Amino acid sequence: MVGLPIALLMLAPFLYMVATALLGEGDTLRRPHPQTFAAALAAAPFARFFLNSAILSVAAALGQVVTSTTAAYAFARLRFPGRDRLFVLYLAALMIPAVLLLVPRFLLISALGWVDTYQGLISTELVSVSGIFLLRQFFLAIPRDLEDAARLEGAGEWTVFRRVVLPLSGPAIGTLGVLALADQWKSFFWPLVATSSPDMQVLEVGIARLHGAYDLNWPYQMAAATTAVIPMVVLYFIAQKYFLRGIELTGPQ
Amino acid sequence: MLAARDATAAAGYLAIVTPMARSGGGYDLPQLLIRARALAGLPGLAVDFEIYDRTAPLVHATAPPLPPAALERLRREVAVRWTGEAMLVPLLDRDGWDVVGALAAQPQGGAWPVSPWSLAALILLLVAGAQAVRALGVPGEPWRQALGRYGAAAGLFGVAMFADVRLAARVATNRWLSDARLLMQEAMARVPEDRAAPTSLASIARGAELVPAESLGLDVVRRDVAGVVRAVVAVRLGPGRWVELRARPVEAGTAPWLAVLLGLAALGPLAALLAGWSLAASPRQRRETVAAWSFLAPSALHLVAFTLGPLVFALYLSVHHFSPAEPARPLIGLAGYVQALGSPVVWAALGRTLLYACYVPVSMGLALALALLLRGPSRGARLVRGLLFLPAVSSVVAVALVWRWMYHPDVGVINFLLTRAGVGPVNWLGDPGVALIAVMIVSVWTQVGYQMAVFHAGLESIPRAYVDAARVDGANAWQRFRRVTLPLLRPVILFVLVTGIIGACQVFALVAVLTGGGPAGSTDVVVYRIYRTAWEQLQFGDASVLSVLLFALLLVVTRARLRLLDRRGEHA
Repeated sequence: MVGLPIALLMLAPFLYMVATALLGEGDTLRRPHPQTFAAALAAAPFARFFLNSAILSVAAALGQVVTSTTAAYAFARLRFPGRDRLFVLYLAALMIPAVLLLVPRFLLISALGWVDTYQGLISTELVSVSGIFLLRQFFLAIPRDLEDAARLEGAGEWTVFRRVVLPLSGPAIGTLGVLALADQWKSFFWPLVATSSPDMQVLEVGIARLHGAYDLNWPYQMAAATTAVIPMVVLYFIAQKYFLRGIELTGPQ
Repeated sequence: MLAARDATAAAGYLAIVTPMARSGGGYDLPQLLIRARALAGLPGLAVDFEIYDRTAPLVHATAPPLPPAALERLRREVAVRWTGEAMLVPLLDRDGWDVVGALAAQPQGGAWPVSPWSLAALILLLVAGAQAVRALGVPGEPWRQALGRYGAAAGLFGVAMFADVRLAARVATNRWLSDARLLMQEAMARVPEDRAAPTSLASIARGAELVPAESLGLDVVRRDVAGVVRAVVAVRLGPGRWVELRARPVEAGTAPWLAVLLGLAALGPLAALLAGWSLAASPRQRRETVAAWSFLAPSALHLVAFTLGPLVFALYLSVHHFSPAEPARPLIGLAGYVQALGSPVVWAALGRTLLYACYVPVSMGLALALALLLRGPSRGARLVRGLLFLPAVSSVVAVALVWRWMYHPDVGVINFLLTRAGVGPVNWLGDPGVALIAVMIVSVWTQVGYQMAVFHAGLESIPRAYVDAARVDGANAWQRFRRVTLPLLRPVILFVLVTGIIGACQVFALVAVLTGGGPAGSTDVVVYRIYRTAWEQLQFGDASVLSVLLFALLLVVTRARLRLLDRRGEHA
């Protein structure tokens, strides 16, 4: 089996990270002393960072699920003038580099007085065009018969959407939700700009700042890195099939 | 607005010219009466004044007195207030402590100065609108043409109205400044020199700057003062003594009106469009369209507010010198672009970014090899594929920290192993020649698992029959890969390449944590440079210029992909 050494090589940085966090630095192996870990976690308000990351990820994922399912349904199933041109416009938004929107979005939330608040952090992340695209692909693949049957019985579009389409879309919604969670948990640039106080920082920004403060204390940094990685690893192992389906739905096909 | 400013100016003027009452508290009443009458009779002022001592009117003795409640309110708030007919301004005593009366100012001939252009546009609008409405009921599609004309007329009308607003603002600024000049010159003429120092005159023109200057014409002019347009008028204080009164012209803040007026003007055509369409459409179409827009509303509104608006604003920023630390934000046109394109630092950053993006083909090669190696449904292959994906999902900052630790020149594990293997230690992140390669290695490590997963999905979608047919024809493994698998995988490869390059051009977090752009700027990629320009040098305008350039570069990459896909279509 050639795969195993490759996998070990790829995972080595993670193993090294956990080892440093638990054992401390140095080339002689020592017994694990978790107090390093505890001390590192006490060096910064990690619970708060964790909470902020969780709030951002969950809120953004929920928002994206709501906005993407509704928009994707309109694009996939309803006929209205200018639909295809509008969809192309939506897709065009994908080509805008995030950094271009950073300064204007910051000025926007500062004009609203939202700098360093949850609403400022989250509001920009509530719509994902790639999420809309992903769900539209999925909806297009659902057979129309069920919906038409419901329509014949006099159901309105909203009822069709809620009673027929949404119950069938569990896997796609799960995929979008998981991808959005992972994406937001990793997001660094916008939270770096939109927040300033330690109380509002997300984990990514928090550990990047910690790195500045404890530059030479590698076990601390590795402990911090481990806390940032673990939730994603757990999410990945729970929801691996969603990640892979995301690749199928947003891929080149 | 004009009335308020003029009344404030007049109150300042009275406070200067009127002597104090000898018995303390307020002004000398007969003197105030004389001054007030003189002020109201001053030729050339743009507003009518009434001046109240406490509540008693001074200028027109028969006018109704000021309601005591109004005076009380002025005392409490000491602020300018609009009473419905006039702007009411508190008259303070000279020390500015107590409200001793009030000034009411009414603009003269304050009617809306509608220009003939706006009138013409209005008539055009009404005609086009009537036509459009008449065409609505007619079968066929004449209403579309009529609507086009209606829309154009509405646009014209909006622009004409905006021109009027701008003109009115300009006129108001001019009148206020010339009134302030008049009052200042009066004040200079009436009071002894020592009380009328330019500093005390400043209270006449609140919100304007007083600067000693040379003589100037009589007119109010617009002049560029340190990069900002100011309305300027020269005031003659005495023989050979001139000061300049500079104020922000009101019309400088009218740009939002254009959007508002155009939006209002567009309401009519939009309503006609909706009406025309819903008369022409079947009930089912109408129902579906309404439903579709209600489904689209959340995302559409969000995209307008948080993507389209910011995009337009970024373009606006890129043609202005814009810094949150400076109040002056002059229009500089394309000068920012010219400067950026002429700057070797920018070109170096762009080149470095493209060099960095070269990791994409490298990791793609590895990913393709791994995907071929780890094919198959066995548990082991699945597990390894899953594990390889991990770096792609884990936190970027954490990954960067781990690699920083492993790259450590003295105690890092990589140099430890290299020394063991007999190769000398490498100063990975400290050597300008190596640092970019070090960042690229980390990128390969994070991306290869994801790319492999995409390739795997692509390989799975190739029908077995094709490969089997080639096998029957006697092709060996390499030939099967080269002639069958690879061509069929082409769109997947293109997809991974282009999305990879687009992602690589936007790398930020990895660079920020691994190297901070260093050493010696050797990993200063475009987005990191934009970040530094915006958030360290606070040059939002320059940062937007760089972002727009990056956007243009990415558009080129995307177009290249589309063209390559097209060419494939011709071959097929």
